[in-house]
Amino acid sequence: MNLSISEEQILIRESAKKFLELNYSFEKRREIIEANHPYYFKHWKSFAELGWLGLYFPEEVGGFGENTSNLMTLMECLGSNLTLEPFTFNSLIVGKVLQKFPSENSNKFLQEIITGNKLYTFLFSPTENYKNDILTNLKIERNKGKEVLKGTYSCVFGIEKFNYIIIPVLSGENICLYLLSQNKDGFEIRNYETIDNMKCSNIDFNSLELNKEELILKINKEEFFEKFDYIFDLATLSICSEALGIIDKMYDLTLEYCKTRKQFGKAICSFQVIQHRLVDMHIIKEEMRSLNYMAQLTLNEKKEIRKKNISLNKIFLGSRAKSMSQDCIQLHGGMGVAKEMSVGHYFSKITSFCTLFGSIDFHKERYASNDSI
Amino acid sequence: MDLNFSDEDAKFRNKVKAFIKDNLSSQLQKKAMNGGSYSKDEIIKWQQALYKNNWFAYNWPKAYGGCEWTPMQRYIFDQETAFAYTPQIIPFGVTMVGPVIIEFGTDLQKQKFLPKILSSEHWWCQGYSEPEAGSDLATLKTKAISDGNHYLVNGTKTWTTLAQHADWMFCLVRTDNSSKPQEGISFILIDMKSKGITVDPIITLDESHEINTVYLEDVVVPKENLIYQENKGWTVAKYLLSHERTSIAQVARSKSAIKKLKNIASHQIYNNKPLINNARFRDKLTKLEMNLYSLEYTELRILSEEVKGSAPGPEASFLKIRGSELQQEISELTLEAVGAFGLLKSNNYSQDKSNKYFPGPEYANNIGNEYLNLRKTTIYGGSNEIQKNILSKMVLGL
Repeated sequence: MNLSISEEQILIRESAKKFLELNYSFEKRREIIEANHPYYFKHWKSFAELGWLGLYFPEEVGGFGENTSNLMTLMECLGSNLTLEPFTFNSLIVGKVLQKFPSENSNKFLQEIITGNKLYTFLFSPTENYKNDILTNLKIERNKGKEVLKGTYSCVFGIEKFNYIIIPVLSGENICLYLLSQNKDGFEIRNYETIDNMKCSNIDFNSLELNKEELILKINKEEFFEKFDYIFDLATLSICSEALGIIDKMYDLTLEYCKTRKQFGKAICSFQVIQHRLVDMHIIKEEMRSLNYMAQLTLNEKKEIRKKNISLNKIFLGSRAKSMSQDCIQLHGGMGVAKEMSVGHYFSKITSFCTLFGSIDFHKERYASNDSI
Repeated sequence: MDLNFSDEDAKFRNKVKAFIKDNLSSQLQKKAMNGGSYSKDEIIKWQQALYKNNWFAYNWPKAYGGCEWTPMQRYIFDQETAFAYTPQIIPFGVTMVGPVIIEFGTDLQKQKFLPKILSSEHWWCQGYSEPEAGSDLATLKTKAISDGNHYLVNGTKTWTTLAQHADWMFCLVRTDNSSKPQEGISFILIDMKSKGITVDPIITLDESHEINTVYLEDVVVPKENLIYQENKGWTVAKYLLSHERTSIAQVARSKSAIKKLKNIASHQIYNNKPLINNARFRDKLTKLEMNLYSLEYTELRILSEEVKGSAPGPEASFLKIRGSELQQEISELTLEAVGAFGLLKSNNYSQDKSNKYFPGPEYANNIGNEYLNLRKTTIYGGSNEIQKNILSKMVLGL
C-alpha cells in the first residue's frame, strides 16, 4: 500500500505552481476577468504547451497516459489559483467523449484538442438532470427530406467559444453524435456570467439542418450512458479535486488572517473558540483529501464502486466542505464579504461546485442505490 | 397564555393589507419577490407613505409622532409587509438613532432631528466599526478633539451601510484617551455634507454596493451635536444596540422566504416529480420550519415580557444569533432548490449587459447572489461570536 504522492505528481505540482504563481496571482486573475472579457482563454495555449490538455489522454494521440492521480494533482493546482479557462469542459469532457466514442477521425480531433490548435466542446449541462436533458431537450424533425435539429439547452458550460461542438441527440433507441462547426446557421447562443466568473450559456436550435457527414457516431442509448456516466463521474471527481485545492487555500488564508488580525489586544487566533474552529477546518481538509484519494484509486474499478466513491466525494463537498467555506468567511469578518479580498472568490467557487455535477440529494440517492447491503 | 387575535387585531391586519395595496404597485412587489432590490427613491416613497399614515415610527412614543403599536400589531405589520415583499424600513434613522435622541437628546436636538427622521428627509448611517475596531468596538480610534464650540474629528469608519445615500451619520468617537476604553467614547451626530468627509464604496461578493468606508479628515462638528454627555457614548451605544439586535432577527422576512422556497420547490422538477415531494428535500425544509417557529415563539415570548415593561436586554443577542443563522440556512436551501440557474449573476447587478435575458424561471433570479450577500448577517450588528460573549456574561453569569 502506498497513499503518498508520486515523484511524477510532485513534478506536475511544482511546474503548475511555478506557472500559476507567475500568471495567475489574484491580481493577474482580476486583470484577466476585466480585460479578457468575454473569453477566458488567455492561457489556453500555455495549458497545451505545459502538457495539461493532454495530461489524461493516451500517448498515441499526443497525450501523457491516463494516470488519474496526475490529473487530480493538476486539478488541485488549478483550484488553488481559481483559473478561469474551462478546462473541464473544453478539454477533459469533450476529449473523453471523443476517446470513449471512437469514430473515423477521433484521433485527429483529439490531437487538435491536445495541441490547443482547435477548440472542441460537448453539449451538456452539468446537473443532476443530465440524462433527462440528453434524452429530451433536442429532437430531429424531418422536413422535406431534410433533418432539422430543434430544441433548447440551458446552463451549458464551455460553449461560449468553440470551433466544433459535439451534440448528442436521441433518435429512436440510439444516441446520435453530431459534430458541427461554429459556422453553421440555425442556432443562437446567449452567454451569462456566473457568480464564480464562469461562462454559462443558453443555446437555442431553431432550424439547424443536419448533414449526413456531420453524424460521427450512432450508438445504442444504454451503451451510450454506460460510457457517458463514466465521463460524468470523472469530471465530478475532477471538480472535487479542484475544490480540494480551493479548500486547502481557504484554510491557509483563514489561518493566516486569524494569526494577523488583532482584536481585544491580541491576535484572534489566541482565542480558544477560534482555535477549535481552525482545528475543525484542518480535520475537514485532511479528510477531504483522504476521500479524494480513495475515489482516485477506485475510478477504474467496477462501476458500482466508482459511483459510490465519487458520490461520497460530492456529498462531502456539499456538506462538510461547504460548511467549512462558510466558516472561513465568518472568521474573516467583514473582510470576508469584500470583493477585493481573495477568500470570497474561493467561497463563490465552492458554492458553484456544490451546485454543479449533481446536487447533494442526487448523490445521496445514487450512493444508496449502488449500495449492495 | 393566549395567542388569539382580537377583533381589533383582525381589523388592523386588514388595514395593513389595504395600505400595501394602495401604496405599492404589484409590479414593484413582483420585482422584489423575484430577487430585485428597491431604489433609494422607492424606499423613501414607501417610508413617507407609512409616515403619512402615522405608521412609520413603531417604537416611538405617541408624543413624538410614534404609533405605540402593541407587540401583536407590530407582529402583524411585519408579517404582512414581509409576505408582500415591501421595501424594508431603513433602520438607522427611525429605529436606531430616533429612540436614542428621544431618550438622551436635548429639546433642541429633538426639534432639529426627529421631524426630519419621520419625514425621511434625512437618511442616516451608522459610524461604529473601524478597520481596527470591529468586534472589539471599544478600542475605536476616531478622535474628536475639543476646540471651543466644536469638535475636530479625524479617523476612519468602515462597513458603513448605505452611507452613499446618507445625510447624517451617528458616530462613536474617542474624546478621552486617558481612561478605560469604554469610558472615553462620545456619541455625536455628523452632517455628511461637512468638509473633509469621503465615502468610498466597498463592493461585496454579490457585486452590490451596500457598504462603504467613510474617511473623516478634520471634520468640524458643532458641540450641540453631542448626544448625552461627553465620554458617556458607550451608555448610548449599548441602548441603541439592543434596539438594533431585535430588529435584525428578521423573523417575518424569513417566514416569507420559506414560503417562497416552498413555492419554488413545488415548481422545480426532480426525478420527474416536484422537488417538494422528495423526502430528502422535505427533511431539510422541515428542519428550517422547526428553526423558524422555535425562533418566532422565542421572539413572541420576549415581546410579551416587553409589554410588561422590561426593556430589551441580552435576549436580543439570542434573537440576533438565531435570526441571522436562519436567514443563511434558508438562502442555502433555496440555492439548492433552484440549482444551476441560481448561479447566474442577476439582472440587477450585472455590470456588463451580458445577462440581458434571464434564461431560467423568474424565481431563480438572484438566488446565488443572495446566498453570497447573506453571509453578512452573522457578521454585522456585532458578530455572532460577540453575541455569544454577551450572553455568556450577561445571562449565564460566566
